[in-house]
Amino acid sequence: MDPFQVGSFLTAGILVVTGLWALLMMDNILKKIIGANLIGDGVNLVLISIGYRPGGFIPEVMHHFHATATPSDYSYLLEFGEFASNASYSLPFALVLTNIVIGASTLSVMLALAVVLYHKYHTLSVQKMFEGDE
Amino acid sequence: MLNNSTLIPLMVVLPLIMAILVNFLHQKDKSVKFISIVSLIVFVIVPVVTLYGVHLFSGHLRTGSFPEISKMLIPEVYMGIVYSYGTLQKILMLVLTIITGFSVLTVINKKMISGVYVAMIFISLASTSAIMLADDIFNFFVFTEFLVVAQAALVIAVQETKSFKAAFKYMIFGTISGASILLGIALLLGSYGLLNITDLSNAIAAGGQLNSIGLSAVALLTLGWLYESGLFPFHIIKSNMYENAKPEISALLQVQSKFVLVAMAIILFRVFSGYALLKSVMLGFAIFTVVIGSVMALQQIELRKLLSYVAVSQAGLVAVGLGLGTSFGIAAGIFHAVNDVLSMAILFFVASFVYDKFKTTNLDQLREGLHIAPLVGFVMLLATLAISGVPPFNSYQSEWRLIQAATQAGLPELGILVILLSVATFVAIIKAFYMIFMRPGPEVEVNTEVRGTMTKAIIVILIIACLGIGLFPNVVYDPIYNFVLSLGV
Repeated sequence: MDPFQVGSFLTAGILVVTGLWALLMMDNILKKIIGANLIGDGVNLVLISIGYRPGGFIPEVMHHFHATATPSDYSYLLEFGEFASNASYSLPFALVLTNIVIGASTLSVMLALAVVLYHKYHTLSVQKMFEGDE
Repeated sequence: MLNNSTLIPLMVVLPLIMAILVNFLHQKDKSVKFISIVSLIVFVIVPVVTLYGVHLFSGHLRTGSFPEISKMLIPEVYMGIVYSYGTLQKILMLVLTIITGFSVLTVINKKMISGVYVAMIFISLASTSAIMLADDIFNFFVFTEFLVVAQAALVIAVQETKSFKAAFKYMIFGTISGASILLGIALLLGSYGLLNITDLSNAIAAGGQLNSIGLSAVALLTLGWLYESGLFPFHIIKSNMYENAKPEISALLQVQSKFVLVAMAIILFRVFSGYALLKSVMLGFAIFTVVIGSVMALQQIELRKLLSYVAVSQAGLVAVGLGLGTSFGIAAGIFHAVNDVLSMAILFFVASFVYDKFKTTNLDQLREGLHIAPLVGFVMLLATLAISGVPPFNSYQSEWRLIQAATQAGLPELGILVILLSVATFVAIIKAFYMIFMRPGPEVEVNTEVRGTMTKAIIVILIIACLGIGLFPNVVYDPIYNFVLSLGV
């Protein structure tokens, strides 16, 4: 594994652990939400790192790689050794883009809830908000 | 070769389009009402007329001559997202769309009509449909996230502080669960380069023993499954959601949760079919859920809270069947999911009527309701018998099969657990029935404007369905069993 990729995985691990710590240990509702977001970012980084290839090129530049292609259209790829050995794996990038959009919508709903709860309790402390709940 | 049916994606696309439409028509109540009713009819018809098969979003059907461009373990792959529609999906889709229809009709009948509210119901319908249809693990993940947001929005719409807090907790834990599922998917993608569940299953089976990365993926996906299904240790989060939503929406939420439980368990079984420990882990969490859920239900004096815990414990029972891991056990578990959602829906609709009629669901404040609403009381009694597994109702058939499956699997003690749960469920709900409808005492305040004709019609239809399945179980059970056999898990 390339050192850059190792570094990416380690960073992702740190992000996830930090996020979990913030989510479970911090009392401030905003810090909990930021923690939740950090976990998502960490997972996104794992996905991006999976698709990384040192010195690789982006498959999307290949114009023949389109949705309506049939199996025979792909046969030239076999002869195109450079593609097989040098292309980055592009699928994770698409997944990350989707997850960023989902993460943004989830984040916005959680922030809206935090605003409402703040107006009700005039505090950002989760402990005070949920005091007395079972 | 399976049919490439173009109607399959309509089960997801139509609710999404209608959700956008009714959202734009917010505050135009007549238009929202008209579109909602027409949409609901279409939503029920589409699963009926759709042919069994697969739908490919771009790409091509499975072929033997696909070049090995990524040196994958298997030579045949689908390119693009695939939706697969079989007998099991048809049964689940029918039940889901019908209960969704009943929930929306109740909402309309109560003049709570709101474009945004109906939009959220439609998005949750689309998400659950996609979860059941998707043969692509990332597509599955995307719609679980949609479902979490839509369900939270339905609870937020109650506009009470308790509901805000329930939705917040649900979303926070949903973030952990979502990240867990996605990380599991990322590990599988990194190891096998695949997202299609069928291909992934073949690749993992061809690869032999799971390595440490594969085991981590199993653990992460199982954690996500526990959350999405509302099983232990997430049972309180889920029951909190049921309790704080409007009861007619709780009826819908419990259907969605149980069907997601089934769909995700099937995915786990298919992908990690050779990993025996998974079934034991599932069974362990299921038993905890059954025990804790039923004990909590027995302690409640608030109808909605009581029903929430009953719903959670019954989800545990579904998971017990799945966790047995045998074809018979899995089929019995899925059959119980179908039966249970119908019985639970009746009880939640009864709670909806009680809340509207008596302005409370606190059992201490309710009494002598039978002369005010005799039909509702009678149907609640029948639903209590149904959910407790008393013949000739539907849950009797599934619980009997669960006991048989447990005995066949060499775990007869689980049969005793099923019987104990039935007794606990009966005691918990019959207590509520007595306190609402039979207990003598001074008259309670009644909202005379509430006639509840729609709710009464719905609960009568549902109890007839419960009785029908109880008398003719093979109409539902046989297709489920054949589907489970075809999975080969």
